[in-house]
Amino acid sequence: MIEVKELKKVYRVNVKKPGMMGAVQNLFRSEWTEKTAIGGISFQAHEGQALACIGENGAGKSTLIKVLIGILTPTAGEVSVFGKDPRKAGRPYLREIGVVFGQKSNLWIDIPVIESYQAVQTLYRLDRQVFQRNLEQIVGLLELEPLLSSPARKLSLGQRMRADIGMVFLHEPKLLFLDEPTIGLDINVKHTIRTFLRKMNQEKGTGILLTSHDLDDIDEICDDAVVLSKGKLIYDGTLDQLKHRYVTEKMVRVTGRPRQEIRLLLPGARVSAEGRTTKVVYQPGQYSSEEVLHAVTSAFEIEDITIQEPDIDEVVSRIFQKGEDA
Amino acid sequence: MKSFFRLTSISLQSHLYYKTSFLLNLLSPVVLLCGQYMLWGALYGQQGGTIGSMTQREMFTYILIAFSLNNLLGWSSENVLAKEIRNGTVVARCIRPVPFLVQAVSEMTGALAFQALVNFLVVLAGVVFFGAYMEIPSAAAVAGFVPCVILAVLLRIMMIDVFSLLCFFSTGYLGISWTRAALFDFFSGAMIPVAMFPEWLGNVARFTPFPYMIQVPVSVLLGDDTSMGIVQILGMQLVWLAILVLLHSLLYGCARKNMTIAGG
Repeated sequence: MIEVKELKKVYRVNVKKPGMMGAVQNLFRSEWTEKTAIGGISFQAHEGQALACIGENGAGKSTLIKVLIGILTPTAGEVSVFGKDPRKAGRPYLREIGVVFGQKSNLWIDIPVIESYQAVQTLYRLDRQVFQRNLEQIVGLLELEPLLSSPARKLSLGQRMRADIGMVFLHEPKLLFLDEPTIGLDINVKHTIRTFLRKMNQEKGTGILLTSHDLDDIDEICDDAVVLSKGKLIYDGTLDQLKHRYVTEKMVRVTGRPRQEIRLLLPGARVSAEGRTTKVVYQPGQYSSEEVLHAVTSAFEIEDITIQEPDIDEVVSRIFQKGEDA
Repeated sequence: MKSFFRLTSISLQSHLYYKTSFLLNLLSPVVLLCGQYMLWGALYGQQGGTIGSMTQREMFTYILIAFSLNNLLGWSSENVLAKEIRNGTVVARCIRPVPFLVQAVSEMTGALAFQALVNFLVVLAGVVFFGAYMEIPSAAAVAGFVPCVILAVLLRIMMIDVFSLLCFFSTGYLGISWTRAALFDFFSGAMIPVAMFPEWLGNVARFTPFPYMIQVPVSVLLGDDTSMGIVQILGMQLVWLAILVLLHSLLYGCARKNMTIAGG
């Protein structure tokens, strides 16, 4: 579905010297510098895949999306989506994809939401029955009924984003590009949007390429990830592998009255306690799960116990720590 | 065409949404029109007869029609695309499966549609109440004027579109918009009929598309000697239209190639 080979995007940026002299000089002579947004990356995504693009600010995530939807021209390399070059595929390609930018609305802001939706029916040449069916589905799933008659300008950020995401599904895109779709939203709206996107991915097979700084978005919507750092691809694989590659420790959280000192049973583990809850962090190579469980059941009268997988927030934090150390 | 009409309707609705601003935009230029009448009335009052080659009656008709053509698009509706380019929201246009040019033309057509109706009523009222002081055109002149004015409006839309596209290459859209407005107001005959320019300046104006947006259509209506027949005039308008469409394609192609969209 998506094939990226040695993609490079370099922006030419006007450099202005500071101060009054710099401003005057810039009037007569412009100085330019080059900024590499993407520095030669390659990866593939198959049809129906939900792929996350992870990276710090300025890593090249948004640039990648803009190249893939065909509005930016790569400086070098090849990009192909559905076997076509997005730059040259034109309007038929635009009918196959959907794009949502969290910070830029695709709705016409001064007219009621339903009119924007009806415009999509015309612009994408949708059959009336298909449009009606899709409209009913997105209105139901995203609870859009009360918003349809309001101009987008009068909606809250969360309402507007729900309406925006609903709009992009009206023409049944085969592939959806989402650039920070939940930025600034409250937890309930985030949950609604994540559940909706996951459902569409699983039931309709809509491919997703998602960038987000909210790692819960990534965890709940995507199975696979590419990680960009300073324009370079530093990981391409499943989210599970990503977690295990960067976070090797496991954690057991146990609530209950201590019977004996856990530190004596697992001297190599890090133990911290808060109230009646104790956290035991260990390296899988150091102790087996069986040994840890045996020690915990001996040391506590267990009321509750959880064995936690590495957290995606921690994974990303470690990736970028390593990037900075390097 | 369905896409064009849908986008035109959206643009019209968007402009009607801001009621107060819309009504003020609609009516405030009438004050300027009254001012122009008084100014030219005073000038003719002192000299009498003709100024340049125009009689007072012709001038009053000229002012009314030129005003009605000039205020079809206001500053805010002219700058919609330029502002979108400036703040990056133009990306929404780029991902719609409709040609960029169709979107730009329909946006401006919607913006001027209602104003055109109001201006028609203003012209009608002007003729009914002040017809005795104006040159009333013949039916044949009106027949020539109609296609000429349609092409004039299209030319104006394309001129705004081309200048707006220049904003892809500069961070200061206001400078570009002011330059466009100054060139248009001066050379189109919106402020002073081109016929009153010094000969050399008149010749410069005739080598630009601007007079074909106001001066020429009004001259056709007044039956003035424009040194060209109606067929030639329509031909020249079509040539300028083709040039502006070509410029649009070149600029848009170049912009797409070098586009930078700031932020996430």
